[in-house]
Amino acid sequence: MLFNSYVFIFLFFPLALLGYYSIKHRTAQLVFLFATSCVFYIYWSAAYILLMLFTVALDFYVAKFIDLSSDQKQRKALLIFSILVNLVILFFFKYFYFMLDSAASVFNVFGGHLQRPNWEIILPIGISFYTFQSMSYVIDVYRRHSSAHGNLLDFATYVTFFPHQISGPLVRHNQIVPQLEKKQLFNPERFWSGLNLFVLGLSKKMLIADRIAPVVDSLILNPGSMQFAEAWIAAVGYTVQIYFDFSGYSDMAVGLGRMMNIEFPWNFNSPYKSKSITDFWKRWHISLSSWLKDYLYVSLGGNRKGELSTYVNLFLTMLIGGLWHGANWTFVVWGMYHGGLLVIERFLKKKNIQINSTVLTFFLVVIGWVFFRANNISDAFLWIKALFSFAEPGAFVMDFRAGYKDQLSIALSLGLLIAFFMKNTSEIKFPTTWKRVLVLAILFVICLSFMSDDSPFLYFQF
Amino acid sequence: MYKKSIISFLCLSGLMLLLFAAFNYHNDPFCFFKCENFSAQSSTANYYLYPAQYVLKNPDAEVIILGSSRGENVPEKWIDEKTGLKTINLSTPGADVVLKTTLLNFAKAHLKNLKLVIWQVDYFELTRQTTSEKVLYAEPYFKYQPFRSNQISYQFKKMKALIDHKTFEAILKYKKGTKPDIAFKLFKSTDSYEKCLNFSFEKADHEALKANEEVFKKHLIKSLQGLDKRFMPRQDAQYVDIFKREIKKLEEANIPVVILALPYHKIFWERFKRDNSQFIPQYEEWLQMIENLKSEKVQFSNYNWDFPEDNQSEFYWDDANHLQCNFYIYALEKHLLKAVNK
Repeated sequence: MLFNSYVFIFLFFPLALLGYYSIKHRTAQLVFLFATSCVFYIYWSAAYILLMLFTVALDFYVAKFIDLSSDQKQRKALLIFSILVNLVILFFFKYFYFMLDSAASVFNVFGGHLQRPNWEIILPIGISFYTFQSMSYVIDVYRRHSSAHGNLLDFATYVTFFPHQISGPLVRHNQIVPQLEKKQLFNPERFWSGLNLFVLGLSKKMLIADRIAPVVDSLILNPGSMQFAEAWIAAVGYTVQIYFDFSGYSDMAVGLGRMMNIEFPWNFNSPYKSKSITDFWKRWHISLSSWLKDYLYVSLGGNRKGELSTYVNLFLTMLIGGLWHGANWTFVVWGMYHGGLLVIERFLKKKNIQINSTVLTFFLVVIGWVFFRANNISDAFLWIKALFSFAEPGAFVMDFRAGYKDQLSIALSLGLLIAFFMKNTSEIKFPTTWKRVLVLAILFVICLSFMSDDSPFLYFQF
Repeated sequence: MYKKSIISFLCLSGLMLLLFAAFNYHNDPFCFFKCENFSAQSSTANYYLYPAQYVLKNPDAEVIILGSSRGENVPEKWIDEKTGLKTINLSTPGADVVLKTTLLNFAKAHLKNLKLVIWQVDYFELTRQTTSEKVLYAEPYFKYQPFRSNQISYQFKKMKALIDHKTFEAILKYKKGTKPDIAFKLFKSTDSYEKCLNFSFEKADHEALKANEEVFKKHLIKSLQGLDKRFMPRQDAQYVDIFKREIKKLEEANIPVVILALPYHKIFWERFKRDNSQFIPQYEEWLQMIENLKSEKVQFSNYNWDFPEDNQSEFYWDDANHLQCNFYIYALEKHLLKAVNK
C-alpha cells in the first residue's frame, strides 16, 4: 500500500487514526497499532508477513538471552547467531541470483557453466529496512548500550510500525519504544504539524519527483544514443528526482508518525547544500549513514587502528552501504565511488586541505547518481561518456515529447530552487493561518488529482 | 486554534475536491458519464472513440482493419481497389485486444454488411501493457467490451476520473482547440498510400535513398528506444482467450479474417536476439498460437521475422517498428484475393 494512494488516504489511515485515538487503554492501543501495521504489510503480501514476524521474534528473544547472560562467549555466540540468520535471510531474498549470475560470469570466462535454478524469488518489501532495524537492537544489547525490552509487543510494534515499515527512516529502538510505552492521546498541535509534513512530502513526491521521472526514464532507455545535453538533463533530473522522491517519502513518514504522536528522526537535511562529500553524508539518508557508522564502521574498527585502517574501513562501509541498496554492480560502484571520495577528503583534511564547495560537491554527487540509476555498468559508462561529449555534433539537441518538456522545466527548476535556496522541511514552521490552510488544501487536492498515475517510491525497491 | 485549522483544512479540501469533480463531470471530456447520444458528430477528447465515429460515418463499410500504430499505414484505398469492398482502417496507437475486440463488436453492430476483417497483431496486445482506461470506461464502448468487471469496482474506478488531473487537462486543451496528444489521423493511411504511389524505387528515388542512408539509420536506432520492453512481459491468459474467442466467432459468422503479423526491422532483431534471447520462446509461443487458429476462413500472413524482398530501406520502413504501405501491399495481396474469392 502506498502513502500516495486513495486506499491509504481515504480508507486505511482514517480508520487507523480513528481506532488508535478511540482506544483508551495503552496495551489495547498498542495491539491495535501492531495489527494495523500487519494489515498494511499484508496488503502487499500475506505470506511474507510471517518472515518479518519471524525476524522480530528471533531478535527479541536473542537480545533477551544476551541481556540475561553474563558469559561473554555465550553473548557473542548469540549475537553472531542473530546476525547470521538475519543476513542469510536478507542475502537469499536479495542477493542470491545476483551472486549466482556474477559467479556464472566468472565461470564463463574459464569456459565453465553454472546452471541457474528456476526459483521465483520475490524480494519481500521493506526487508532491508526491518532487518537492519532489528539487528541494531541486538547489537545495542550486546554492547550494553541498552537493556533488552521487556515486552515483545512494544518491540514488534516498533519494527512493524507502518509509517516507517517499508522505506524507513531506519529508526533505533531506543528512539521509538519509549514513546510506544506511553498511552498516546490526540494532540492537535502535533497533528497539525504532522498533517503539514504529510502534505508537503506528498507534494514533493507527486508534483516534483514524478514530473521528472518520465523524462529521465525515457532518456536512460538507450544511453548510447544520448546527446550531451540529454545526458545532463537525465543526470541532474535524476539527482532532483531521487531527492524529492525519497525525502518526500521520509517527510510523509515523519508526518504520519507525528499525527500519531510518535516522533521520528529527520532523514534529510538539505543534502544538496553540502560543501563536501563528508558533509553530504551527514545530510543524506541520515538514518542509514548513522546506522552504517555505528554498526558497521565502528565494528570494523572505525578510526581506532591507524590511518590506513581508517581509510579501508571507510571505503568498505560505503561499499557495503552501496550494496545494501540493491543487487547490482552499479550500486557497488556507487558505494565505492563515495567511499573513495570520503577517503580522499579525509586524506586531504590531514594535509590541511579542506573541500568547501557546494558546486563541486553537487557535481560529484550527480556523477555518482549516474551509477546508481544506470541499469548496468556499461550503460553507466555510456552515460558518463555522453556527459562529456560537448564537442559531438548534435550535442545540444534535446529530443523528448513536447508535453514532457514543459513539466520537466517547471519541476526541475522548482526542485533545484527548493534544494539549494529554501529551508529544509525540519526548519519550516506551520502557523495556523487561513493562508496556510488554503495553500495546504490546494496542494493536497492537486496531489490527489495525480494519484491515479502509477508512482511507487524509488526506495521501495531497496 | 489547531483543531480549527485541521477541520478547516478537511472542509476546504473536501469542497475543492467536490467542485473539481463537478467541473470534470459537467464537461466529461472522455465520454465516461454523459454520453447517451454518442454519434459520429459528438465532440470528445477521447481519441479512442474516433475509430467508433469513423465506423458511424461509414455504415456501408465492408472491410475493417484492426491494428495498432503499426497498422495505421495499411492503405484503405488500395484494399478498396483490389477487392471492390469499401474499407475503413480503425488502427489506433497502442491498441490492445480489448480495444480491437471492442471496435470489432462495435463495427458488427453498426455496419450493414461486414465482409472481411484484417487483424494486425502485436505481441503486446495480449500483455495488458497498453489497456487504457479511456477504452474501459468510455460509455459508448461499455456493451461491446470483451469482459465485464464487477459493477461496484467498475463504477468506483470510473469515479477516479472525476478527480484525475488528466480529465481536467483534457478539458482545458480541448477548449483551447488543441488536439489530444496522440492525434488520431483517420486519413493517415490515405496520405501514406499516395506517398507509396509516388515513390519510385527503381528511378531517381533510389539515389535519394542511398544519400539518406546515414540519416535513416540514425532514425532507425532512435526508434529502438524502449521497443524491447514490449516483448518482456508474459501474455495474459484472459487476453489470449479473448483473442482466440473473437477469431472463432468471426469464423462461425462466416466472416473471413486475415491475421497479419508484421516484421520488425533487422536492426531490432539483431540487438534483441543478442541481449534478450530469453524472451524469444514466449514470442514464438504466441506465433504458434496464431498458427493454430488457421482455417478456411482464417488466414495468417506471418512476416514476423523478415520478408524476402526486404531492402531495409525507407521503401518499406517508416522506422524500426513501423512499415510503409508498400509492405502491406506486398504482404496482403494474395491473402485478400483468397479471402474475397478472387
